[in-house]
Amino acid sequence: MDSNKRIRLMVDLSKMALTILVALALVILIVLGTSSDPMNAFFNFFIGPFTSLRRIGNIIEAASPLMFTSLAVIMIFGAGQFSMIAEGSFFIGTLGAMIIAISCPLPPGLHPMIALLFAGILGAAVASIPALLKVKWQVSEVVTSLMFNYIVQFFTVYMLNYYFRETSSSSVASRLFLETSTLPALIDGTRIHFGVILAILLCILAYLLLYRTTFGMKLRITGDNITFANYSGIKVTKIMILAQIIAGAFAGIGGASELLGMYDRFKWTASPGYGWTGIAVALLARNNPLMVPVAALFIGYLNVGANIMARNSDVSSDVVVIIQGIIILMIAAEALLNKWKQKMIVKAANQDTATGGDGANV
Amino acid sequence: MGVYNVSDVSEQDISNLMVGRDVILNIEKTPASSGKPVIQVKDLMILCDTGKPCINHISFTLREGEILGVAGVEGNGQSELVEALCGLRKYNAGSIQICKTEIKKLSISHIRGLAVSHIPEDRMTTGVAPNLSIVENILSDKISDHKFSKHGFINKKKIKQYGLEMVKQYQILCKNPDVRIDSLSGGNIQKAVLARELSNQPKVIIADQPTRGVDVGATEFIHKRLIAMRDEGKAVLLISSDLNEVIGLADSIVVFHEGQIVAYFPDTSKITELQLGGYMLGIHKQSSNEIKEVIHG
Repeated sequence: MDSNKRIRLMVDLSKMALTILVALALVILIVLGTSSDPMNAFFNFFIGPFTSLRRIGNIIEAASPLMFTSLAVIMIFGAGQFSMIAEGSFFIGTLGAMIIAISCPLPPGLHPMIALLFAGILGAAVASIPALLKVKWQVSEVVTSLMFNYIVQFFTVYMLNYYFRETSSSSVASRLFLETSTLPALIDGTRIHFGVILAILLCILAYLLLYRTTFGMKLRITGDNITFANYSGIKVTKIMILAQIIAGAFAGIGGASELLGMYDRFKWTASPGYGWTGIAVALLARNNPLMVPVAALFIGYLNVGANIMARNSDVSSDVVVIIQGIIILMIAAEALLNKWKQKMIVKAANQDTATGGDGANV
Repeated sequence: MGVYNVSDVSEQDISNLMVGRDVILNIEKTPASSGKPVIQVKDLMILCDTGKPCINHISFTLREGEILGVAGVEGNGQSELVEALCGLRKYNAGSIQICKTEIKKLSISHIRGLAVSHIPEDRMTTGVAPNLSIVENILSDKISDHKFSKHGFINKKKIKQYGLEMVKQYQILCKNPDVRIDSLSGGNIQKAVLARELSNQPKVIIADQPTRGVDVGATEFIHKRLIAMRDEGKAVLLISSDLNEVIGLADSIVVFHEGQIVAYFPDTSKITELQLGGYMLGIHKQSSNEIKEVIHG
């Protein structure tokens, strides 16, 4: 590895460590300021998630949907687009999976596969709308995707209320899913399900797509400099649309996987927001699909810790939202630690020239 | 390298000191032997975004084995002409034929497929993807070739090998072809652009400000390359604000003023900068018969 790459990696890792440190320091401050028994809160937050197999399972379960949505975010942002549609695609995916799970009797094995597929198609279709509007009429994909997320959310809740609701129950929930539709659990004593394996497979697939195919290279070129991509003869509109369609499919499949792996009824009355958290995970993973599982596990750990703390102490689980906000802010701060990085690069170049290397580029 | 009094050193001396060896500032070349027409522009008209014509009914022919220089104060239609020739801009009237093919309805990749290479005027906005590696930048237009990919999957080994080859052939100073291109100096980035544009057997090279912001050593290298391409029988259209470069490198020159060709010089050896300047500023204009000669029949 050449010195510039090593420096960049070192700065990236330091930045990540600093981010996490600052976030945790802030949590400690908040807890110290609000809790009457801070040591109990800390214990529950930091150690709590590891105190039983079920809780460790919770971390992995929490990471699973985030992997799908952050992969979607990576595909979209990678193509230089800023569509926030991962949220809507995920939720329409849950709707698609519910429809298949309730009203389409199919043999086991095939049933969840069809549900995942249908959810992926719906997710892709929803994601393609902001993409097409942008290409056709230059409507900002940021605005349309944000608005579309609401339409998807209310449409899904409407479908639930008017077509799939359990009428004998007073709380809002769908009818029971057909037993053939659920994704199998993997480990006894937890709810870790087949969706986790699917998510990891998709991470690898997304990596191969981005770094081992011509499409991926064109996507990265388009994302980095669209003028240059166009000049090189790359069909940029095609790439932009395709990237968002693939992203939508990832998120939609994620919705189905979450619903069929974790629940036997559809119970959401609002979108769970995995699309938003997916952005934090994508940033934390430095847009590298292979880093997504690690980043998702970390955010999953924070979420589980916050929940345990909320249950067992007097601190609300909302602190986790503060942590995520700080993570996004600090990682998005491009200039953070730049001075240090510059210093190291200059030093390395000087050393190179001193030893007769070719560090100083003429 | 030292401190000198301005009165003691010439341009040549400074260049030699900067590069660390003797630099040839005067461009050496043999007379051109021009062949068949490659680009034929007839009565071309391009309207700007404001609705004003920025190319106003121009016609010219570029032939094999010659370098046609375009001189002119910047903003007199040169950029728009280049964009139209490469398919980056639609034109409103007239025709452009490249190798006998009308390009009006062709996509950018189709035009590239006609063996047209384009060295863009601003390498950082148009010429490279700054955060990607040197080799990815060199391959941006040809990654789908069977040489580098099969069924949509890229061949890492072939790509690596090609990157090393190009870095060597175009003397790009870097640790390896996998470093980010924006870690290079301007001259080396420009050499990478050249590596991409000149390595796939082009018939036409459109060189827009090929040495702008490039150090003397790289400038010399780029000039030699362009002349070598000309000697191999390629057609070169050279647009440059550097009058020395246009006069030294081109075999013949057209002068642009307000979107029109106001002068044509079939032989550059007799022109002075002063003469060109008069035409560039619109003080002089040749007769239409003199200008028509650039159509070559």
